[in-house]
Amino acid sequence: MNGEETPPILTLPIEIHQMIFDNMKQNDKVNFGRCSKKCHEIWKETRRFYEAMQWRHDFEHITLSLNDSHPFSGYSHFINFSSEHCESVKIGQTGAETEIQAIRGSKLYFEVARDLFKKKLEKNQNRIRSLTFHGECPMNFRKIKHFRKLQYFTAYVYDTAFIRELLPRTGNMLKYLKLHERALDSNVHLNLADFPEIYRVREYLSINFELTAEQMMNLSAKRIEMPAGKLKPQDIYNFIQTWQIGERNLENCVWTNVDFSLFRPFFQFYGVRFFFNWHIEDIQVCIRGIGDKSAKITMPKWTCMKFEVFDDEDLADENGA
Amino acid sequence: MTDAAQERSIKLLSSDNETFQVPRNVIRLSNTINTLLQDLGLDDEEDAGDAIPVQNVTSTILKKVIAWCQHHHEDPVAADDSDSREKRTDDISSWDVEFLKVDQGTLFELILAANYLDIKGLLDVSCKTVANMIKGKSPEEIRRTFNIKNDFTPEEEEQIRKENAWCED
Repeated sequence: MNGEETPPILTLPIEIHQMIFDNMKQNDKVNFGRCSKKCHEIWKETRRFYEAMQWRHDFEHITLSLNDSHPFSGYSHFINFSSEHCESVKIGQTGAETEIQAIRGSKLYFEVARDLFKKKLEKNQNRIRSLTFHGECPMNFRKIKHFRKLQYFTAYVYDTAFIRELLPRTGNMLKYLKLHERALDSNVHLNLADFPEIYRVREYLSINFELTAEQMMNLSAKRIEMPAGKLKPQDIYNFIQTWQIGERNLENCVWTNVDFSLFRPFFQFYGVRFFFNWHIEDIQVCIRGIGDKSAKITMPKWTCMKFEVFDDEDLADENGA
Repeated sequence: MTDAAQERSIKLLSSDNETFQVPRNVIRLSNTINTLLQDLGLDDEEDAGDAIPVQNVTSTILKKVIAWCQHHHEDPVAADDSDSREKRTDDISSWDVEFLKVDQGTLFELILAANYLDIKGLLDVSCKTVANMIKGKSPEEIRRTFNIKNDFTPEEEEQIRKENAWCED
């Protein structure tokens, strides 16, 4: 064959490659993808082809992020399991995150995928820096005890018992903790006693259960997001004052589920001059006299408030104008 | 399809204008031809009529395809393995193994023809044959098998190797 001629196998359409790959184990596909740039492209295309087909189904997602040694960090990196390929692992090579997709309600597949995922996870648990669950944990994660490098943990729907197991082992290292939406065992009442480790989360804390004002004061995270339904305006005011001491920035504090009507007497009591910008994005509330640094709280929904703190000179200038 | 239809012949015209007369019950393995005959209402006509053009398939390949259909036309209909996980590839019959001992160009053309004519059995067995040519081989061995030139720089190669290292069994 002439050296310039494209090898016949590389001229096959992608659906044919997909059919050939369906007969191969993951390692063989990986090796094929390592043969040349075109092979790599084909391999990635088969994954896209596969994904396009699989999206017809109702997926759950589990995202598992690897450590930052990955050369393409910042992109998405997928591993897919499916009912049609439950013994194989499809891998895309474009980033630091690994997403494992499971078909909801496919028990046979689920069991197989669990084993595969567990194997992969166990093998890599000492490397994993970031772990995200979208949906039910696909395996008994409680057996995995050594997330020694875990720093970022997100669970959109979570198993409370697992969180209780995980956090004590990782609480000292966690920079980022996000527990969202609901617990699988949603009849379990969540409170700080369930998750005392959140005091030690350093960078970012986003939780869907409420804290008391006192608990809130003891948090060390630089950015927090939490529901504020039961917080009194005074609590928030105190918290804002506390937060101005040290390195935390009020821009990084977000409360959800705020009942705005609660704040009206609070602002009046403190001589607060507040005004509403009924733009969809925010309501601004200016609080006078909290400090001499400008500080604000912004929440992205129309029910959100933006607090701005002015010093007297600013107000004087504004009044003069 | 009636018995009379089963017994008659169909003419196929290859892309290089060679005509092949094929028993109807042999070419039934091609879903494409089946659909065509049914849609055009030609299945019950006694006369073979005009040849059906098979534009994407050369005479050399069409001859092979017909030979495969001839050998397999009495095979029981395989169950649909739509839940195919990684499929077995060690179940290719010895006849098919011999049949597919052809040069790579021919093998890939057979795959394309089987795909075009929608002959599931031939497509499966030919894809398995290619998969078997890849399975268990290192990238270098795969390159040699298919005459693929490695155009990665050493750095790119190392990068890809690293990307995959964690998931290798």
